[in-house]
Amino acid sequence: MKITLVELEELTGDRLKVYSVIEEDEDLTLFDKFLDENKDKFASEIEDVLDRIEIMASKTGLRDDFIKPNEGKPGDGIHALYDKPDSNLRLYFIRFGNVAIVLGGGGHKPKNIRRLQDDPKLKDENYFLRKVSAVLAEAVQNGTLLITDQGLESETDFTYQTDDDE
Amino acid sequence: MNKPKRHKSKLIQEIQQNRSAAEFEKTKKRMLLAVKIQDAIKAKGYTYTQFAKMMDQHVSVISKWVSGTHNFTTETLFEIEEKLEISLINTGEEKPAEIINKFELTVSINPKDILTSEYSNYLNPGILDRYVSLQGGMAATVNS
Repeated sequence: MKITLVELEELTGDRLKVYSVIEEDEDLTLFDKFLDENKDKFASEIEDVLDRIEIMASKTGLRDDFIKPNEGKPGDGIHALYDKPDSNLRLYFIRFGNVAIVLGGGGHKPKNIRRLQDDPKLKDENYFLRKVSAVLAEAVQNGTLLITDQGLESETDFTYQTDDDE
Repeated sequence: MNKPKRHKSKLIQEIQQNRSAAEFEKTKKRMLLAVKIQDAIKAKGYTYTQFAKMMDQHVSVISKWVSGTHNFTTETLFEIEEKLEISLINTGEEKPAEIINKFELTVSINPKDILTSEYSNYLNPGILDRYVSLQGGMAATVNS
């Protein structure tokens, strides 16, 4: 599947660049879909998620204490936003140092699950972001995607092909 | 070098327009407070486990405190202030920082330009001192 990396105009800031990806033939980013799926049922939590990302981007920068680390395979940079004790939602993202994050999807996090694999929706969202992370990591490794203090830069059009068979 | 295309999200805009400005401010203050505590713990050279022991808390409680999502009681904040020797709550009792602005003022008068006794008075060191003092200066010297 083809994906394109985009910068989120309303969230990105001087302290942290905020991106998401759009799948081929879609208008919404992965993060837009997460908002759309949860904005009615978990309205105040969605506002809080947006507020926290915006404040990190403009004021505090990305801090280890503001995130839940290692939500993917070792080294793939997939993390989640810190869970409030009474929260219902989990949002996954890919971290590029303290410079940038690529927001993915997520969903309702049932209280009775121990592993994300126990919930089909969370598993789908997390595993898809792992594929995105893999292609972006490859682009960083082969030098076609650069992580600079200005965020992510490239001489390409930021379109990548994910491995659908993984 | 290219940058990714900027994506305008109607959904994000809609949520941002309808959100509570007061809640946003509270979240911002909670996160900035957490940053202050994180930095102070690091500056003191403590690990979170060490700090947890000092505060008689479990380390998971410290993780909540520094997550930027915690609602602190004043009691807890007072205790953190004491242990980390930092100020987290401004009670208005702190002595305001003394600000001293230093500047050098050079007054140059060309005797040829002194046509009236009003200007010639400024050559008197006492009057010049007073004039400079009135302008906020501290001392003056006269080079005749």
